[in-house]
Amino acid sequence: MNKLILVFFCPIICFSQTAIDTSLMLSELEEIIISATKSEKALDKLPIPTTIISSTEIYESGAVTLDDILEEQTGIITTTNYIGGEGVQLQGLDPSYTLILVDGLPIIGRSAGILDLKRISVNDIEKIEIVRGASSSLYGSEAIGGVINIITKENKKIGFNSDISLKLASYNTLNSSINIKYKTNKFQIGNSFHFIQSDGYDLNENDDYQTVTPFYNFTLSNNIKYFISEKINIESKVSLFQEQQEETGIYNSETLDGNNNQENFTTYLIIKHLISENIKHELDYYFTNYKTQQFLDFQNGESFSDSYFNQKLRKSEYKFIYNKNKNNVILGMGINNESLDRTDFSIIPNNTSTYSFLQFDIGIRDKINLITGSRYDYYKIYSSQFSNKVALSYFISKNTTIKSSVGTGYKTPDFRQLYFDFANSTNGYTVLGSIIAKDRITFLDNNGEIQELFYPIDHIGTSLDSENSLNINLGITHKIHTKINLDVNFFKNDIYNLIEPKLIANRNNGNSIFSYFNVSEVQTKGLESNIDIKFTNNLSFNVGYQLLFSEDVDAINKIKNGDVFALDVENGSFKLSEDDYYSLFNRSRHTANAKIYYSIPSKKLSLNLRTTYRSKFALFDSNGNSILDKYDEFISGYFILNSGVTKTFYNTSVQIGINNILNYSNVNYLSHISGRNYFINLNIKLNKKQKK
Amino acid sequence: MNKTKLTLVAAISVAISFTSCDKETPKVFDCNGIENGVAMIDSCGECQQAYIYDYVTHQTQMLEDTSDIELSSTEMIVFPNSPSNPFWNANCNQLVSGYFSNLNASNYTIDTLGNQIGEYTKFSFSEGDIVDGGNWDIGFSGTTIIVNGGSVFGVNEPNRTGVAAAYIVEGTTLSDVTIIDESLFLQDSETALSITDDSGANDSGWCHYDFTTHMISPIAGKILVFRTHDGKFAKMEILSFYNNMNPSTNPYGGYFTFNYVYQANSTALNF
Repeated sequence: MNKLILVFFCPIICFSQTAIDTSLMLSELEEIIISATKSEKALDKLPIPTTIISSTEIYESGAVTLDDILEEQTGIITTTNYIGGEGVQLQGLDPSYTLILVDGLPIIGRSAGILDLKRISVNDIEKIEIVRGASSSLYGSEAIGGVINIITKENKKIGFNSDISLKLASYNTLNSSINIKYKTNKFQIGNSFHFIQSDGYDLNENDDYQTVTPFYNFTLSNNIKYFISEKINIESKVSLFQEQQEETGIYNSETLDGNNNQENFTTYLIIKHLISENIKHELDYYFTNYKTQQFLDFQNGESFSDSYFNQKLRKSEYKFIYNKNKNNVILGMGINNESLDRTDFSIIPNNTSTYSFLQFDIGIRDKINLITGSRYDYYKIYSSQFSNKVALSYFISKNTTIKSSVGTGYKTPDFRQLYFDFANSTNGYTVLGSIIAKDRITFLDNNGEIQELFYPIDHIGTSLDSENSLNINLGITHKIHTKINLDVNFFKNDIYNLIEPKLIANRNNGNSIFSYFNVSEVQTKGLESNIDIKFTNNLSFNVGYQLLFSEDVDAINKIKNGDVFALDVENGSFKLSEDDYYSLFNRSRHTANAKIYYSIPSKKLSLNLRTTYRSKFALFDSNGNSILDKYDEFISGYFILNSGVTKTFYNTSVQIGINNILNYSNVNYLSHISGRNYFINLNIKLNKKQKK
Repeated sequence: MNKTKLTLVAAISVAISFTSCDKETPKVFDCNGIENGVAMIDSCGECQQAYIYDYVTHQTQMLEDTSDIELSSTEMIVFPNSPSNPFWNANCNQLVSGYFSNLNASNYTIDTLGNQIGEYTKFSFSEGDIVDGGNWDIGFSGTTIIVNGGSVFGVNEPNRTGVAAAYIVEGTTLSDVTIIDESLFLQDSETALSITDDSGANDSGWCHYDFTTHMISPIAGKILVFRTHDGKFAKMEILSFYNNMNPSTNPYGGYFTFNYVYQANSTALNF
């Protein structure tokens, strides 16, 4: 690691001597963040730890989908599960605990808790906002680790604006996008289209499977905004995503072929009304539908497997915003309706919940910013939730600010945990959602098919509730020098009532039946820090680092009691001591990133070199105790190194780049990392100013 | 018996030779502290007494001193080293440690009802090897382990011909299992196997099944204790379910590698 950091510093030393004047890359404009308070707020005033990824950074990195850009951020790791979706780990929490939004609206379609970031195109994005820490006091369920909000581009210039881009990359990957926008004083319309096609890649040519099979997808969206008057405007958004991916399989040495189709349709309408200079209110309606269809057939056309998933979310929210001087009050209320029709469900659940929230954002004498927020979510089939957050920043001096926040978060049981009705015939087990478990077990018991019950029947299916969390952040931002910015944040998350499957009964044929219970508790704590150094207007460098400790509270207690052993295949079992515990699975103690951006304005050329590091981790137990201890087998730490060069001529820019220069891959466990790959990207901007 | 007489004669002659030299008569004590007693130390170093045995009532009465004893018609004296004395050498360990790798129990399939059908690979602790005959102690097929005692539980299992039984000790190590608790032994029956076979689903048997990686791994700290088909004992720790302990080249498993200790003394209740 040290060596590589040295390699990184070397070009700085070299470049920094060739200081070049004129600037454009990093403007000193005050950055605005929306997601942390559901209203526009200056980033440097905010007491909540956040990150903003600019459209420039996204463009310069050559990112195509959301995972590409998120994995380069401090404290964020993209991870895959056994199903293959690529999710995000924030503050050391699993992907299911981070809410992902587009323009403040939740994206649905999680598979085993993971929302696949590969679905989300970063074409036509203004910025990405990352709010760290529990945010249920504004967003409700799932916002335990934080919120990632993708803000799409809005028309800024009057007239006709469009851009076309075409990108070719390794593995026969083609990316093309067209964005066409038109704006007048009263009206604006934008259409964008993004198409991706790839042959996929194969990390292991010796097996019968291809690591990533060929696929194509497109995202089509339309956005219309109309100013009815100076005080009232109405905006609509419609978008459609479709993907088709080939799928292959082998069963009893017979080859299976199939497809995996996904579709996400979204529509949104919002009316905003400015009542007075200080008061505005808005009402919105959101509908989103995520569908998948997966099948595998034998060569003779007979079906091997066929499954579908059809999730719908309807959501409406009303917000009242009062804004005067440095004070801001938001009152909101809303209703959510969600349904899911899928394979392995015996009914189509349909849940409605209502909520309201209130937030005060108060500035006190230029020194203190206090934010308090509360939200109440009313649920019928599990406990209603009351979530709170208090955040305070204190400006010690012009250059130093202390920030702290305490918040609660929660995540409701998902439909799978409530309604799953799944029997695996080959391995002989059944998994039942908590709501249907009781009826099913009672029925089997009355038929004499239950050999042994591990819970009293009255206890089954009655107790599943939301998972809860408490989050604390304490941080400092400090301008060490006019050109050096330091940002450090300590965080701690405690999630309890964690839902896990437990054995509830054995059938007479020996098969096991599982259902879900609120059983365990985990903690994550650590620090996130960033240093930004702007050597000159044309040369900047930033380093991010996260230290992370995570633990399964139950496992630690068992070790303390002397109940946990580890198996050494040479010498047999031995007892573990407390120091032997390592972490939760899939957590790296150290993660880091470093980026250098260098531009030569006179030549309209910009270059960058970016690296990410992740220290050792393990995805599963290897020594017979189901926990991760220091005697387990680990996946070694690794670096990913990416680079890009952009040259602009008039209205055209050409970008070439290499990702994963070191050609890191791990066939067995990290299938989402392809080998070294190259790209070339052509982008043409067509702007036409309209005369007034 | 002859040996005892000889030693007695030797002891007496030593005593006589001592008395001939010294004026004070030295006393000869047996291991039980009785002067001129007949208690003797057995091969395990334990002091064994003679006793009176009533072969009708089967009652025993330990003797400190064999002189002046009157026996009823149904009683007899059993000397410590008599072949009919079960206490003689009873706690002697006759321990054999062994290691067996890649016992192939992978020849099975699972039918549509979830039943495991296939051959059992049978193992004998006294032979330290796979056996074909009726002298097997335990049998393996997939994750299932059966014992040669009790009755047949599932399909395709071999008939039980011995007295074998088993139990599992949790949260320990192979060397820490030192005492055999006979009250815990269970034999296979029509309703359950002595070693629960849950295919690793709920950790009630010897292994754990990981639902995401589909790996079967022995649960650390679980030691299997067996009574063998002929009433002796063994303890065993399974180390791996995969050929050459390598799941990546052998994803379906069915190959047992294990350490064991065999107690060939059928009366010794410890390892």
